[in-house]
Amino acid sequence: MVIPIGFYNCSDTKYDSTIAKPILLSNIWDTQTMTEIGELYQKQYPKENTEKKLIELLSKDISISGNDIPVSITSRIEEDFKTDKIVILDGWILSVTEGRQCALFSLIQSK
Amino acid sequence: MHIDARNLDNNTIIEGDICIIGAGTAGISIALDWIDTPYKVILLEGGGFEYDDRVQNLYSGKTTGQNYYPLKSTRLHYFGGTTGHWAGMCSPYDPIDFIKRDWVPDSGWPISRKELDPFYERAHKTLQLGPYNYDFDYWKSEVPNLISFPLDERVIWNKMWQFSVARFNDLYGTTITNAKNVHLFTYANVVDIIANENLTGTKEVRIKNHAGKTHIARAKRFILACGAIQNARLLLASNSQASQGLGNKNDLVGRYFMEHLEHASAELWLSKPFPSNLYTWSSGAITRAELAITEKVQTENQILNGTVSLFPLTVGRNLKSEMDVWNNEDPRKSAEKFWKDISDARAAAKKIKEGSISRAFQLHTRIEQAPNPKSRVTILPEKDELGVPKTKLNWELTELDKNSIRKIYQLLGQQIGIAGLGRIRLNEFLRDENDTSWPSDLNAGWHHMGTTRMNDNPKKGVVNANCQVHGISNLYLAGSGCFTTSGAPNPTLTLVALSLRLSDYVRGKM
Repeated sequence: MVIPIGFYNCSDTKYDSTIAKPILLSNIWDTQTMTEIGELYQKQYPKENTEKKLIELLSKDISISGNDIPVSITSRIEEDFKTDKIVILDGWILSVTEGRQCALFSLIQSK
Repeated sequence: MHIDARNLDNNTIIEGDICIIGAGTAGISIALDWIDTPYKVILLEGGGFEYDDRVQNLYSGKTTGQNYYPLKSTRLHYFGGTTGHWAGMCSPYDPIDFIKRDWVPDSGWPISRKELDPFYERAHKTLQLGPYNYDFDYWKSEVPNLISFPLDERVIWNKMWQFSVARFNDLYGTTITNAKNVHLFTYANVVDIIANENLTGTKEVRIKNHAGKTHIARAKRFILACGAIQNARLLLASNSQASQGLGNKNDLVGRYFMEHLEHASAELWLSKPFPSNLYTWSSGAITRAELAITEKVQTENQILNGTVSLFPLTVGRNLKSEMDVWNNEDPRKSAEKFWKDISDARAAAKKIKEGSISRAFQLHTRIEQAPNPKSRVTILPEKDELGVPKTKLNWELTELDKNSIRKIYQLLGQQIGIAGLGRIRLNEFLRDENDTSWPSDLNAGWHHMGTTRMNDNPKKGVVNANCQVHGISNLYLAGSGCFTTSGAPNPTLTLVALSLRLSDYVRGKM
């Protein structure tokens, strides 16, 4: 599958769209599934339903641009699972971070 | 020695030291143990050496509650019993299965796993298994490519299995018929147990067959080994002296029927291939593992004991539910449909060669059923061809059963996530935490347990720790009906071990 990667502008924030790419899930799902799961996350957590909010949550405590993003996100996903920050979307047992990544991905796709 | 009871003179009286009723897995295991002893063993089998539909039909009955297989089709009624078509899957029950668990009502056997260990070892010989060793590290050193998922061993462990190919009919038919002190009577269906006047001992059993013959068997001691449903049925139907049936003063006979819930419950999608022979089964394999939850985590989460097995998703998604396939009264026809469904699914799977689904697995639950007095076997007014009331099975599950399955996958999903192996997807019936219903096609393992449960208190069990019926000094029950809880593994290894323990006990009493 091909998931677009590039830089996006969101209000006054420029961010690396790598942050919107759940690496492990992209080895399992196609783009459509990722979009659908992202939409489900948006429905389940309407308070996080903006690009700005999702970037804010995803980039908390990490640099939002640079080569370290995948490593940092992977590490946070592992930590999510360890600390029970888990969401179930369409039956998938995912980390909250992955849910947010999918939500951001689906928002980018809908642009 | 073999005698066809159809050829005996009517009203023959058969006498011996011990009478074993039923030549299935439990009965044959015990009979083998008595060969070359000074005792005359009577072994009564309702069928012959081959399938006979008229005999098989004696197992017909009705089911209510959770959808279940046709009763006639769930056991085989001839010498060798259901080993005639079993899958041979063997693994011992875990120590936690035997103890009293506060969160599992009516749990707690009067014996421990440690007490059963020597008999498990002996059962391995009867079932022609490998060494009595279920340690993953042992098998890893014996069999190549048994690579474990890198999961937290404090949460998930590899429960090992061995596979038996023992079909007792072929394997032990000659041994039994050649044994001088074992008198095997085929076509000898026990239809009634007659007790002494004060119901404290068994006097004799009445035998019938389709040839119209009636016989009597007398012995010092009787062991009922007809399977969990038929043992309960025979006790309940032996009601000429006690209206509620023999051994049933406390209305427990037939209650606590348990099955193994064996159902496709989730999917495991790996992010990259994981080449290992540990979790999958192939023809000729001598071992494999299922993913199990540690005793500590079961206790913390107050869940039942269960395991998860892996099946290629490309095949699994093309399989029909076993409950929908195994629906013919004739076990041969149901088995034929079952194998054809697997064969068709495998053929369909071969067309899928790439994509992430090629490294995905269907996850099958194998879990104990919580003891439930409402899940029970009773007898109907309607009688079979030999005049025995037919069986009614009301199979009922509880919320604990479903919550436990869901929790197992949540725990597994979490651990798979931590390890970064892939992701778990729950099947539809587990997604809503408030949904306590069950799918109508929920599969069971064809395993009947618990109907004559073991407990040292007569008000809580039909048999005591020695499998003796409470209050009846010379009547013993063999088989999985005595299980107090049902464990996760298939019951055969444990029921053979328990039967050998009973065999020792009865011999000590002679």
